[in-house]
Amino acid sequence: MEDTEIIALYWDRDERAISETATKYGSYCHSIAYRLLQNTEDAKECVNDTYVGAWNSIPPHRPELLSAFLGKITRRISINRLRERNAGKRAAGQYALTLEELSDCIPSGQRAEDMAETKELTRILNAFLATLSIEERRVFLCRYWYFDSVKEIAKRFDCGQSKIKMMLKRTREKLLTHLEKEGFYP
Amino acid sequence: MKPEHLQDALNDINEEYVADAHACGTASSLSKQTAKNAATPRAKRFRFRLAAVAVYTLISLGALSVFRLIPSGTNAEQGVTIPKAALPEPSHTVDMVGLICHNGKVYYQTGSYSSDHKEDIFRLVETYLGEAVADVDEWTVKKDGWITELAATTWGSVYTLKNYDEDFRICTANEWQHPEEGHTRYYLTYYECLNGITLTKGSDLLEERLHLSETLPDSTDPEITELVSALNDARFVYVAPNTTPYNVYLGDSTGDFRRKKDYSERLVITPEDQVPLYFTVYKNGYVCYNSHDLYNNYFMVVDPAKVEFIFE
Repeated sequence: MEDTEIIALYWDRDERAISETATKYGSYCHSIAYRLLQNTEDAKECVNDTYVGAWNSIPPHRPELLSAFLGKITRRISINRLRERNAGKRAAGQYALTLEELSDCIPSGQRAEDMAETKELTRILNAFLATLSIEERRVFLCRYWYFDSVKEIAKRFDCGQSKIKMMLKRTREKLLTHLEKEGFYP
Repeated sequence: MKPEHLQDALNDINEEYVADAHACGTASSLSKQTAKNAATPRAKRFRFRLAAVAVYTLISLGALSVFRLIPSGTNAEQGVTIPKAALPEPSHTVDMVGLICHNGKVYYQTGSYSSDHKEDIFRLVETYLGEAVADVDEWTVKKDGWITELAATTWGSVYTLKNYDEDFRICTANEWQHPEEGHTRYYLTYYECLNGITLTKGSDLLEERLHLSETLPDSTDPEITELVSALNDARFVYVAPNTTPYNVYLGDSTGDFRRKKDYSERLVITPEDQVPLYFTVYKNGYVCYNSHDLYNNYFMVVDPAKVEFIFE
C-alpha cells in the first residue's frame, strides 16, 4: 500500500492503518529499536508504542515521508526506554559509543548550557547537515541516527573502517566548529 | 550541554536526510540480508554491497571518483607499455577504487551485470577463487602487505569467468535482497587487469582479451562491427596528459570526456554476456577503452572517417 493511502487510513481513523504500517514498516522500526535496546521484547514494545504514537499524531500531522516519521518516533521511544533501563548505570552498546564520540563536538562553557534547547539545536543541526557532502551526511546519520557500527557502515559504503572513522572524526570536528560559530563557544 | 542533547536534537532533523540515509543502505534497511547471511555457510555465500551497485552506476556515467592514478606509458615500435599498477601509498588521503589482488596483479573494478535469476550469473562464472573481504584500504595496505592473495577493497565471492583469461578478467558475485519487497537480485561485478602489459594493436585488447568479434550479438549495427574491425588493426598510442594534442583533441587529465562534447562521444558496446564495454570515440579517430580512469590516456587510432557515423 502506498504511504499516502496509509496516511489516509490514519486520517479516517481506520484501524487498518496500524496493520498496514506494521506490514510495510514493522521491520524497519524494529531494527531501529533493536539496535538501541538489544532486546527483542523491549524492541517489540517500542514498535507497538510507535504505532500508538503515529495513531495519536496523525492527524493532525500529515507526514511527507512516513518511513522517517515512524523512524523518528521509534528512535525517540527507544532512547527513552534505554535511558529508563540504564538509569544510574553506565549505558552500553552502539548508543553509548555514539554518545562518547559526540562528546567530541560539545563545546564547554555557560553559553552552551543556555542554548541547549532541543529545537534550537535541531535547527542548527539541519543547517550543519546541509553543509556536508551527501556521503558525509549519510555516514554521519548511519552512525548517529541509526546507530550502525563503523564496521557495518564501512561495508555499506564499500570502503575501509579507517576511512569511515576518519570521515566521522572530521565531521565531528566540523560540527564542533559549527556549534561554536552558532554561539556555543568554549 | 551533554551528548544526549545532541542525540535528542538529531531525532527531529529533516526527514529527507533520515530517509536518504535509510535508502543508501543502513544496517536497519538491510537487516533481513544480514540475518540471511548469518545462516549461510561463508564459502557459498554471496555478499551484498549496495555500494557496488552505486559504484557501477557511477562507472556507467563515467564519473567514478577514484584516487588519482597518474596514467603513464611508453610509446615504442612495438606499441605502448602500461606500467604495472601499484597500490597507493598509505599517506594518500583519497577515495579508493574497487580492486582485487590476484596472482600478484591488481584488477580494477569495471562493469557489472545483474539478474533476478541466480542461474544467469552462474552460467558466466567458472572457478571459485575465494572470498574478497575488503581488507585493503589506503591506511592498512602497507602494513598488511598488499600482495596478499585476494586482498581487496571490495566484498564478494571471487570467480574466474568462463570466456575470459584469468590474467585479464575475474569477477565477484553478490546478491541483494530488497529490504522491503523481499525479492533477491544477483550481481556480477567484473575486475580487469590491463596493467603491466604491452599493447601493440587494438586486437591485443579487443580480440585477445575481450573476444569482441566472437561475442558481438548478430544484431549489432554494421557500422559498429566495421569500426571494431578497424580498431583491431589500429595501433595503440599513449598520449600524455597536459600535452597539446591531449588538451586540444582529447579532453583533460580528469578523463571527463563530456567536457569536449564537440570532439568526443561515448560508445557503448554490449557483448553477449551483457556486460557493457565503454569507449570514448574522438572525432580525430582516437578511441579509448574506458574500463578505468587509469587507461584514459591509451588510444587506438583509426581513420577519422571510420568514426564519423557516431557524430552524425
